[in-house]
Amino acid sequence: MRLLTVKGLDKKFKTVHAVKGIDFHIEQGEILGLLGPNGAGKSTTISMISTLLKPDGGDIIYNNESIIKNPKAIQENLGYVPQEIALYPMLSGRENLMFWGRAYGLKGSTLKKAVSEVSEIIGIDDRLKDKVKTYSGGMQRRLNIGVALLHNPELIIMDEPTVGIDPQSRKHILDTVLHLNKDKGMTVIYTSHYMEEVEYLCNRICIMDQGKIIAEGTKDELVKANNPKTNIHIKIDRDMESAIVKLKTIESVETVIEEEELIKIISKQDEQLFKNIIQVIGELDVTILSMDIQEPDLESVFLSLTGRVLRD
Amino acid sequence: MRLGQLIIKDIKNIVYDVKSLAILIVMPVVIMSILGVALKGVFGNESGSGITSMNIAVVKQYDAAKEIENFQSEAEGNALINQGDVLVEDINLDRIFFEEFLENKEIQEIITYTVVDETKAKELIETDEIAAIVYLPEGFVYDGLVNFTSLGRNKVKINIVTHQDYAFSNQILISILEGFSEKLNIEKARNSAFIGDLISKGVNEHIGDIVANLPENMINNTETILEHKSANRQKSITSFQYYATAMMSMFLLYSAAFGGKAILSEKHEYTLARLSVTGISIEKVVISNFVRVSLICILQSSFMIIYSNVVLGIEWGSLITIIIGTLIMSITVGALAMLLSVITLATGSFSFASFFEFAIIQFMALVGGSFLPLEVLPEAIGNLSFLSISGLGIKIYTNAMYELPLSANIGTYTLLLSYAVVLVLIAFIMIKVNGKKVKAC
Ligand SMILES: Nc1ncnc2c1ncn2[C@@H]1O[C@H](COP(=O)(O)OP(=O)(O)OP(=O)(O)O)[C@@H](O)[C@H]1O
Ligand SMILES: [Mg+2]
Repeated sequence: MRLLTVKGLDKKFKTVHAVKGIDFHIEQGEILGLLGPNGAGKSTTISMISTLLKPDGGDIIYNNESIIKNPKAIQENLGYVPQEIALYPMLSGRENLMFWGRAYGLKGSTLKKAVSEVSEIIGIDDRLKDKVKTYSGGMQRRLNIGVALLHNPELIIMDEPTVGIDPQSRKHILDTVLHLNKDKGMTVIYTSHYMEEVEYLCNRICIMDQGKIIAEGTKDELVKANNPKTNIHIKIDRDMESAIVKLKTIESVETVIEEEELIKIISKQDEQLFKNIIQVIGELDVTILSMDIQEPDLESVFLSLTGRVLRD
Repeated sequence: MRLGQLIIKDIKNIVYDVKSLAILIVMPVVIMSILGVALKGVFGNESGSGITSMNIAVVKQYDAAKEIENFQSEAEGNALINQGDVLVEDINLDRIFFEEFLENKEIQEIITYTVVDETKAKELIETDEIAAIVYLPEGFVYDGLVNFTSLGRNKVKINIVTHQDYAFSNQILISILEGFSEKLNIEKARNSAFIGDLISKGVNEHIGDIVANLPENMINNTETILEHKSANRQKSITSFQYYATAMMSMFLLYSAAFGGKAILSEKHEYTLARLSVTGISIEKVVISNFVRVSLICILQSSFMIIYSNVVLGIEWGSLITIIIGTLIMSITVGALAMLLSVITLATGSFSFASFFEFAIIQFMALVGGSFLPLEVLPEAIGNLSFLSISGLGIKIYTNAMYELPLSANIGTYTLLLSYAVVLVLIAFIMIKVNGKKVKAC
């Protein structure tokens, strides 16, 4: 069943055309990824779906009803996790959960049950009594998510929920999202500029760039539609510059960049590729320290679509 | 979500925040206490009313009996002196100065005197026991009698020698005495009418006039200590009482400034966006803020009144006037906070709230009489006092102290409530007009 349809959605700020008439939809039970670099327009899109911003054009249909005409249609079914921590730092974790639960219309034993359930899911039950301002960044992030889960929403929208936190909290959050989707049947829109997260979680992905959705589909569809590329990461002991120049001469190779002391090669499918690489590097007086061959991924899809890397 | 939940959250946010709580509640109490200590420091020893007095010595350089005798023998057969029906005793400056003036209840609260000879007086001032010596010159009684009964203008002169450590107290002493002697000379023109006035009501009734006639530079130094007294009131209140109301009314305005910033802060903390996503309207949010500020004001007022009463011994007077006044003041300040919060939200910056804090509050405090009582302010400024919410607060609370009937405040109550209504209306209109700008994100 189609839960949400976005049609020709458009938003201009004074000097920026942030969202340029985009279309996409979400089926019930899906995890839809919204992937894009900084400033792509992800948060703006999400703000419009969450009824925070009024679009300048287009429509958003939730369960057959326009939420622009009737914001209430989505509000009570929506769990919104903003990109920023939106909590009351002076209140305790428990007080925050209770307050936001009430804001969603919960009360009495339902509220209490929801609070204890959610605090278990997000794993902060032992710190519930403490003021939120004493929480670590990761705990605040988790509570930020928890607040959106209390009323058992049909749809959760998460805007970069893992920004700036430790790997452990991040893993916890990703697993939470999967749990909510699989065990509670929640539909999720997940925004990120980490392609691994989106790849790991999402059934379907929209790639956004400069206010437009430039590609959409499952990971496999995206990879296939954009000519599957092979990613090879090579680490050599020295003379990276010469190696990069040489590697670029291989016919099937499309891009070679240096990142994090690795040479990252993106190439068309080519049976001779590995042989050619070994040969080219063999001509230099260097030692190969490691070589990692990756399946084509969203990073390479984005790169081939825009000529830029996802992360700055 | 019910408004009540929003309000509880808003209150918790303050109560848990030691810093804002301190600013809103502890600060006024601290300032009130400092004021109390400062006022006590000016004077020597404490007296029952909370006001304390300064000690002076009076040196009589005349012989009253002899001067009256001189006057009477001269008056006989002197056509220029019109004794009429006036009894010498009534216009005897010796009696007026001591019995009507220095023995007056209000003056007594400020000045304690002893009559001594010159040597003793000098000794007292050297041993720091008195703040000043007042010399009543030879001819004091005689000149007074002549002035009152004839067209003659023998200037009545009083000399003062002051102790340099008591400069502040002495400013007051000088201005009071100047007022006194000025009265005697200026009012001479109206002759017996004045004398009758002086005698029937006592000099105390004129202290208000005296204060009002003080030269500009005197006012600056005397305003904090002088008895605040108006001629047509039943009870008098001390300056300490007056400044308690002035401080309190002014501090309530800071709560409005605080509330004026609160909603934009929520926007910056993104909780406003979250509230909006749950379907809570901006109107509800600002109304909650209104109620919160009103409750803070009630809390502030009660705290200050009880503290100043129990610890500083300030009498606040009629309870019913205070309760109704506090409620209405709090509502109006809450409404002010609501409008401020809408303005800061619409402009997206705290600058208007800051402007309010640093300019409008000061303006209201000035024209409302928080710095100087209206009686000593130039009339042009005093005429603006109806614009000042804090000024109207002072009016209500001092009326409570004067124990005026509740009806004396109806006008002020009504004015304050109309301000509240207007402020709320403007706030709602601004939300409507600004639409998009007063949104959560
Ligand atoms: N309130 C606003 N006023 C003006 N410009 C804005 C506003 N919000 C966003 N923009 C601009 O719109 C563009 C899209 O911003 P948006 O926040 O939607 O990007 P994003 O994809 O969420 O980026 P990020 O990954 O950094 O969060 C950016 O150029 C941004 O500067
Ligand atoms: Mg964003």
